[in-house]
Amino acid sequence: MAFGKKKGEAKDPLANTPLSGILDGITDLKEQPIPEGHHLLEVDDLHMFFHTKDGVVKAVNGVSYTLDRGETLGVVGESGSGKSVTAMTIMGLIDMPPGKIEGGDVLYRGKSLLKMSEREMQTVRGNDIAMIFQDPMTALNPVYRVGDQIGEPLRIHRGYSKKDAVDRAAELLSMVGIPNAEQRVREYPHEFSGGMRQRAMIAMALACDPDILIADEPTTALDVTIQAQIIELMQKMQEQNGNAIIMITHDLGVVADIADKIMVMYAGNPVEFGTADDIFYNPIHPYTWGLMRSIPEQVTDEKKPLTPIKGNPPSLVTLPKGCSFSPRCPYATDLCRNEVPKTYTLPDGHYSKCHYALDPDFVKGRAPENSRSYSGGTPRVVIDEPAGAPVAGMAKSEPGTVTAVDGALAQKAPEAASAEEGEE
Amino acid sequence: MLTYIIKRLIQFIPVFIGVTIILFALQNIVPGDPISIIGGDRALPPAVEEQLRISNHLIEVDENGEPLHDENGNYVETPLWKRYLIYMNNLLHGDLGNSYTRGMTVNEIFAQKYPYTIGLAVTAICIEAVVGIGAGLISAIKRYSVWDVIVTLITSILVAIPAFWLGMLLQLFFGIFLRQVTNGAFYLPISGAGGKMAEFPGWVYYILPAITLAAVSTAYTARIMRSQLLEVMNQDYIRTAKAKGLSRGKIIFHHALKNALIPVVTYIGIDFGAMLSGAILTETVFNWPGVGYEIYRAITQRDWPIVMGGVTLIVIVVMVINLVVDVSYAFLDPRIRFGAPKDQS
Ligand SMILES: Nc1ncnc2c1ncn2[C@@H]1O[C@H](COP(=O)(O)OP(=O)(O)OP(=O)(O)O)[C@@H](O)[C@H]1O
Ligand code: SF4
Ligand SMILES: [Mg+2]
Repeated sequence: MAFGKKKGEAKDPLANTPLSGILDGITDLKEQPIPEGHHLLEVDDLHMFFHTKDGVVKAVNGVSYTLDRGETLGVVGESGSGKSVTAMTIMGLIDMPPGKIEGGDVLYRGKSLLKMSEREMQTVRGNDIAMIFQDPMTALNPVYRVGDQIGEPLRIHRGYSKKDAVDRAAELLSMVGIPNAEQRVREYPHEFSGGMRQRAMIAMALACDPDILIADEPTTALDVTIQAQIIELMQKMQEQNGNAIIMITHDLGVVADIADKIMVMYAGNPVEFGTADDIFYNPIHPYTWGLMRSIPEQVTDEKKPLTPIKGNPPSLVTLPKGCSFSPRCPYATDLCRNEVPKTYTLPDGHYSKCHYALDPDFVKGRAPENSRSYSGGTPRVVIDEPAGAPVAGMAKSEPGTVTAVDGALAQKAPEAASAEEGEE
Repeated sequence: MLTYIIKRLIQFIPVFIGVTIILFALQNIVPGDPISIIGGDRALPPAVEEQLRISNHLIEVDENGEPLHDENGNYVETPLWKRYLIYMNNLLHGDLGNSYTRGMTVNEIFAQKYPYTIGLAVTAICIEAVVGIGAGLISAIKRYSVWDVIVTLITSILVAIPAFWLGMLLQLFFGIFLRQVTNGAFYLPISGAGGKMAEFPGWVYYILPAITLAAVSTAYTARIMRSQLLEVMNQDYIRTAKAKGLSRGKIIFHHALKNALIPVVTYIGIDFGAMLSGAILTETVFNWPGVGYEIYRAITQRDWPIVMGGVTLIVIVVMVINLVVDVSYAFLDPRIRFGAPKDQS
């Protein structure tokens, strides 16, 4: 059938891979070793814009991160910040047009997903990278039995017969904690509750043991007890299979326990990225601070008032000049309003897109009180990265660009330093 | 499912009674004495006329079948409600009465005419399903392509053309123009449905009337198919299917089509019911010996038993077809299939 292939697409399966073409198509990509110097997934300065009647929607505007096997990345941000669109761009699920890749790349095991042909992407989707979608109520096809839908990835990627696929679907369903799975697989989505549909979606995503599992707000539709169960379930799967998880949520609390790395997104842009420790104990971006102050703490001795972030996220069509957070940032200066902040990266890969990210005096006293950055006592190693720099996490393997400093006397990046002098 | 069907069948009863009462009342509001219609221009001998009044249940009779008279010596007219009961009683026994003008029972007339209407409807519905669904699919799959533009253009024109006018155009072109141009070597029949003495094999007579009858609905079917498929392709579950690694062809034919077909099937089914009720315009334009033309003729001649019998039949056919559509709908859509029994409680 000719539908699958896009016209004029150069089909070169060997592009970007040092491996021999013989392996290609015989072995799944996930069975191949990760080439030296690469991560499991590298998202490098990814830009994806929607070209609509009303203008260009800058939905993904310079996202960078790396992910390794066994790791969990939490993606946090307000509604409309581009979390889902980023994930769908990686999986090639965005219709182009209206979407268009405006720059950057996505490397999976060293291979560019963006340069793959539609046919190759079909072998990756559901097999190497699987996704659980945000709304379980509409994500299942209403006219097919749940079991058939869960078993479908097995039929296309593993060549299962219809019967074997349904049998396996029943096993998967009981694995995700649905009782009477043998009967349940024969039911239709409308006979499942929201929580059960979400589990069915998880079962479907796990069917082919994906290398990377993208879970887009997998628990938003569920009540708290089920939320915890589902998250536990995904962690258990991860322990068994060693896969990576990208957990998208607008709730920092959800990722607090399970994420190794966290990316905070604002208006299509990752404003801060780092390990969970970095984000929770050493946050350096004012938006992250705002997010942390606006989540209720689950275990807390004293009652602290919640401070919502004032105002609304900007339109992705007409982003404010300078820092996109500046209209809402309590610390915004003229510099913020006029110049887009660069990515300031610490040697451990922790980065922030704020002019004052590397200024301990700025961070000190402004970060949430329970964080280390509040007291400004963190030893720092500072690098200054030019705009459009290589993938953040790879900075480690690039000696020479790192400037080590000790104590709180962090050496400021030249831009940040000069900016500060100019403003204050 | 069975309880659902039985429940629907029971629902037929009040609808059926309602429709027949209205019709029965209407025919008696319209002026004109049926017996003079039967007689036509001639004056009937009084004995014959009396007999006709009795056989058509218009006047009261005693136990011996002799007409009753009131004190003035006039016939006693049978009240309307009583005539309705007699009519319904006969109907339940499969007797639709006698035609005033044709000298046949209504049953005989419809036994003769209905096969032509059914044949035409089946042919037209096949055209509608195959061409309409096919064109809609191509148009949606190759959206914004030349094909899409062509289909959109043709359907826009077709929905705007009245069926009888299209029929006349076809008659002009295929029946008259082509015949002249080819010196009678090639043309299509434009009247009647053939027969033993006809110059063409029977099926040839179906071509033009079937196209005429199907044209507008085919255009609608194509439009519904196109818009439904495009709408379904935007649904979340299509994205899920794509995320599993399915090819576009599989997504369209395995995941989208069944969902998109649900409204199309409903439309085609209801349209089939309408066609089975006799396409009065098409049948008249093509002199088609079907029930539509017959009912039209009966109305102009006030041959009430045919009108009543015809409409009664149509009501039954439409109700049965609608039931069949709903049942097939349930097979396509499990939400309805399993929702139905719950309605019972
Ligand atoms: N097909 C599209 N055409 C135009 N704009 C789009 C399209 N899809 C998404 N967008 C826009 O992209 C932006 C990012 O949307 P996205 O769904 O990624 O947000 P999100 O961070 O997942 O939010 P939420 O928490 O509500 O799920 C939104 O402003 C949305 O309006
Ligand atoms: S760059 Fe300025 S406006 Fe933007 S987050 Fe930093 S301080 Fe706030
Ligand atoms: Mg989302």
